[in-house]
Amino acid sequence: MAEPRSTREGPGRVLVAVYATFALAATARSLVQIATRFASAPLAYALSAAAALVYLVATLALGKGTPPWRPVAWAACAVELVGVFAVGTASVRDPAAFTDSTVWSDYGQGYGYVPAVLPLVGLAWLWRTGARR
Amino acid sequence: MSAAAAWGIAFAALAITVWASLECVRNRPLGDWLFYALAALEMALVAQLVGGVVAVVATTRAVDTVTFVAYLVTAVLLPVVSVLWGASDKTRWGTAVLALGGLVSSVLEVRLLEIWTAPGG
Repeated sequence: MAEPRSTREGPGRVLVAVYATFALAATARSLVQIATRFASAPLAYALSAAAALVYLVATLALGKGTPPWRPVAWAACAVELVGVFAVGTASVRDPAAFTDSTVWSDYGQGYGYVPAVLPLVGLAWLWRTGARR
Repeated sequence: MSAAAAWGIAFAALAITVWASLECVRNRPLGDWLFYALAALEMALVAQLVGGVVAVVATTRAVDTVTFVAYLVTAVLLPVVSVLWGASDKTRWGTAVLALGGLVSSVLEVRLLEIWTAPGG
């Protein structure tokens, strides 16, 4: 079984850069929301913080690219996929519960739906760079 | 803050995105001229940081100062980080990182203008 390719090389460079962008955007947004008005929409803001954490972990794991980090990257991308579809669906079905938006609201509409596509690309990239049998 | 300068920077950053995308399609690594263009963009952003901080201190309107300055600083750091991350890959993918960086820079400029003109900050 060959060693898996590093997730930070080739197209992975761009993927890590996109993840870093979302990590920055989600973290900054979440810090501002929690620092200035947490009480007004605790559910949305807690989810914002969770999304930010997932993006930070995914950026770090894909950016490291070494075998020990691969399971971390798989987990982060999987949680991200579940998160964006769960939060997206919840925000569409029950808008009243989301008085302010998160990165994942409406499947990431505010960010050009990139948050909905990104975990699929991340998982596909992990699959492609995986060990050859 | 000069809105014209912010728009100018936004369009210059978009031009860098188009340029870097073409270079990526033509399978080129980061070349000297694209690097010089990024250096020029960086100088404009540093000038904008100075001008923006002076303007936000001087203005009598209510502007969300913390967010505004955070965006100014992020805008300055972004090209540096994208060159460090992109240029360490000597293939077309390094160039693609810079295309993405230019796009994010232009989005930052548009958000900066929104924060500056927002009523009550």
